[in-house]
Amino acid sequence: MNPSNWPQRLARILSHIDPALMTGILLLMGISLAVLYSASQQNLHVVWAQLLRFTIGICVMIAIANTPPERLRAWAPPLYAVGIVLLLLTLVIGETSMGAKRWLGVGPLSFQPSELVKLALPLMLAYYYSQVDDVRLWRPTVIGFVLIGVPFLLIAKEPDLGTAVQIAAAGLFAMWLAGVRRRWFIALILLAAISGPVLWHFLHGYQKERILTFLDPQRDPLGAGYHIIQSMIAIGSGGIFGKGWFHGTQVNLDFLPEAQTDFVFAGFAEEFGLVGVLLLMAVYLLIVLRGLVIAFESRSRFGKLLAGTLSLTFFLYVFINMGMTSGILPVVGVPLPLISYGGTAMLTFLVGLGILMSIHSHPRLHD
Amino acid sequence: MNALAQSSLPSWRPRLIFGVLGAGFCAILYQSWQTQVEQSGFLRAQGQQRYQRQLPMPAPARGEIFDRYGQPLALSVPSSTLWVDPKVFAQQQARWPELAKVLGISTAEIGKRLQHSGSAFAYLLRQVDPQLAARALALGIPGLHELQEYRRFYPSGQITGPLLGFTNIEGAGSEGLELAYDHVLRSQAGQREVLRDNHGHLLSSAPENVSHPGQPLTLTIDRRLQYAAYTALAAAVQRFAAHSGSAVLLDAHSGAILAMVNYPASNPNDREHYDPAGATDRAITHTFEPGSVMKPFAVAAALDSGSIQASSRFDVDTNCFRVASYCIQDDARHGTLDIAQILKYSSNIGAAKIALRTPAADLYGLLSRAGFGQSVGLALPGESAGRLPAYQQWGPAAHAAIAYGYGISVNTLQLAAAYAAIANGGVYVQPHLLKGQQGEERRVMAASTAAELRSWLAGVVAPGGTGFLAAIPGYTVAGKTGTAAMANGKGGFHRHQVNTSFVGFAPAQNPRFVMAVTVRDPTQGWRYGGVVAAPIFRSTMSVALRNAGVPPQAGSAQAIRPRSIAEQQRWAEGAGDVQH
Repeated sequence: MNPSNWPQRLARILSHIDPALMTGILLLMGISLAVLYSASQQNLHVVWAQLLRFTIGICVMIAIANTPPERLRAWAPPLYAVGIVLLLLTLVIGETSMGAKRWLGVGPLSFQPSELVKLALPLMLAYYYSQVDDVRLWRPTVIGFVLIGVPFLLIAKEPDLGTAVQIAAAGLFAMWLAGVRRRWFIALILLAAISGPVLWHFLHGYQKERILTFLDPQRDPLGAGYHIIQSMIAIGSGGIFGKGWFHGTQVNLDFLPEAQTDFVFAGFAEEFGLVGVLLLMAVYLLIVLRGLVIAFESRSRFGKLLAGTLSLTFFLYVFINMGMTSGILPVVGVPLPLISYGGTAMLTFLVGLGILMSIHSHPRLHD
Repeated sequence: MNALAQSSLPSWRPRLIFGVLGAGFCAILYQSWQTQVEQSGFLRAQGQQRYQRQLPMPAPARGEIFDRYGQPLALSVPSSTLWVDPKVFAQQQARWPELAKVLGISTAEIGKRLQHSGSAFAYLLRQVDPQLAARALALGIPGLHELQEYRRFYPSGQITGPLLGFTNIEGAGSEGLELAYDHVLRSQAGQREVLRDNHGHLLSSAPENVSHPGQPLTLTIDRRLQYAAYTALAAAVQRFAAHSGSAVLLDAHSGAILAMVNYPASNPNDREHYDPAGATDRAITHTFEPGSVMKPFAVAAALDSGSIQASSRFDVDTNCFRVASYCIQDDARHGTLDIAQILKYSSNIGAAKIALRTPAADLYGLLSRAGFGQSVGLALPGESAGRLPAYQQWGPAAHAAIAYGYGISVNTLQLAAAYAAIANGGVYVQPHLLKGQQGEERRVMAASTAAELRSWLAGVVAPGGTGFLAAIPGYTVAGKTGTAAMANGKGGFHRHQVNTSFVGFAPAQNPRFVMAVTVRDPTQGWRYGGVVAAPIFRSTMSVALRNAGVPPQAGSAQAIRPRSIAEQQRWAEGAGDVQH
């Protein structure tokens, strides 16, 4: 290895970074640090921790971006298998927290296997559909549903219905993009609509509660509706231009629950107002649109499928979080991508963006 | 399938999903618009309800009230109020008993205070001794706080009670002067806006409304004269078993009210046994038919209109002087009287004859200029105007009756003010209560008329006159007695109930002070103004003259020795009043 060669090597590594995506990521990182600093009552410790996670996450992202899609594709089946095994393990030996087994402890660390599956499932489906000759047949369709159904059921059993639905949605995106016949999706939607009332009885009490609360937050303002009412107050108090950094009372006086994690958007909206919301949406749109452009420009079926699925799933996560925070969706525990405090979810998103960069910066692949 | 077909996935499919999610984004944007623009005000207020708390600041002291010499009439003394933050305090139930013990109330009482409270503030005990509050705070119970307040204290108690009124527990004036001048006396407490976090902790305080101390008031009242008048009045009301009484002492020229007292009077310092009946300032609220004390004004109107001369004489030698269907009578039968004698013996027939010679408009005009029928204008609560019917409505009977004080109603202050015009060379000066104020002035009668009246009224207090009990050794006193049957409210009169009064001034020809005394419904002894009310005048006026250093004039002094046994008896009855 030639030591004098390192600047060129570094340049080559960095050349895999997509400037548009990176701009979006850095903007979100800036917003995240600013919002967390305020929401944590100006606790620098929180900011440093989040910055450290960003740094690690971006390093991992760059590493993924430098990994050729062929290798990613090759990882898909083993990753998927590991994900399923870990989900099973979670159900057996997982750490119970707030009535649900979602976390798996590995020594001092603990992580949610569902995070791994968020990436493993799209990878697996892209891998599978990129080598199927005719997706219009029933067999690839059924296999697709099985690939989605297994992790869905395992995660729903934890129980973590919100994550399960999101993962299933990501999988369905992949199948949809792959070209599975429309009738299957129509059938699925009809089935969901018909079985809804039946499934209602299988929901846990808190899940029913969340949905009822979504329909009418005032029915239990101090209990289940508390989150959403405080969140609406925070967003509404922001007005057009916001109350200003550090001046968000709902956040700083601890009225807004989960202000650093799931409800971070409400605190942001309170301090930066409608203008801030528009700006944040613009940044997210930048990332999603860039991801879709990457999908369109990809010459490989695997790349198209994976990039499209990941971009739209990213969009879905943003939509769900903002939607629940602003009261147009029921409350589900979903972080706001790249803004919420926390490491696992951030790593997942950054790896996903790394995959997009990899697909775009390794254009030669044909399958 | 060829490679091209494989790699070209349908492009409308991602667009559809993007479109759906994009529509979702628009929905969020719409929702944001709704919450952040359309409902922002409402939601912001909702937020404020949750985090903003108004904490009362220790209010600065209410303005003090002083008498004309700077003696305190109303003070604000520091006291403590204990309040609790119920959210925090309720968790300290284990410590309530020791707190209850310190405060001398029961534990159940503490619980009761909390029940009726809001969520962030509840009074525990109001206006307690600061030392007691300090002992309670020393227990260190979380959620228990102290608020510095003031308690109103009136050094003169009931003596100034009805005049000053009182304040409620919030420190706002709710009666009398305290109410009328609340805008001056009131202190602006100011509030501290504090932010309260979700756990009930009070955080940094936002900018506060600044507090302003109340402004002091200095009255024209002379505390010593107030005391003298009150004790004399109280003694008389008790001795004659009267219903009530009031008295007003004025400076003869400036209109300054030096004393205004009422009896019975409640002590505003003793709120637990507070009797609302003793709270009213009768001297300005209670009106009555004045009776004979009105006669000098009928005389003045007649003189000023040229209807009679100072030397005119009137034949009153009848038992019944008929006017319309009424029969006007005197207590005793006299022959022919001059004006001085009509006043001295208080002849109703004489007064009626004088009035009937005077055009009604002239009589009405003089009474009106003397302040009857309109409020004096102290702006105190409940101040009455009395009633002076328009002269166009007078028949001959009303025309005659008004001359000796029937068919007209007045309050004690109005009487004093009107007599002050006689004392003040015929010029009415609007009475006032605040030192430094200047009342309106207007001429009521000619100066010469006023001078004549002063000497005639001195005759009333001279031996043989109805007001002789008002005489003060060494001074010449002028005045007029009044004894009026009380209207029964049905157009007639009570047979045995009378309003007795005496209004006068001293020294007679160079008056310094004017005083009106009214005693309502005396039930024992001689029920005449000259007997019941005149001694009150005498004892108060003698204090006023002595304090003011008015030199006695032995030469011009009225002989005060009673001439007859009956007079001696009356003197003894009235003169046993308190010593000052």
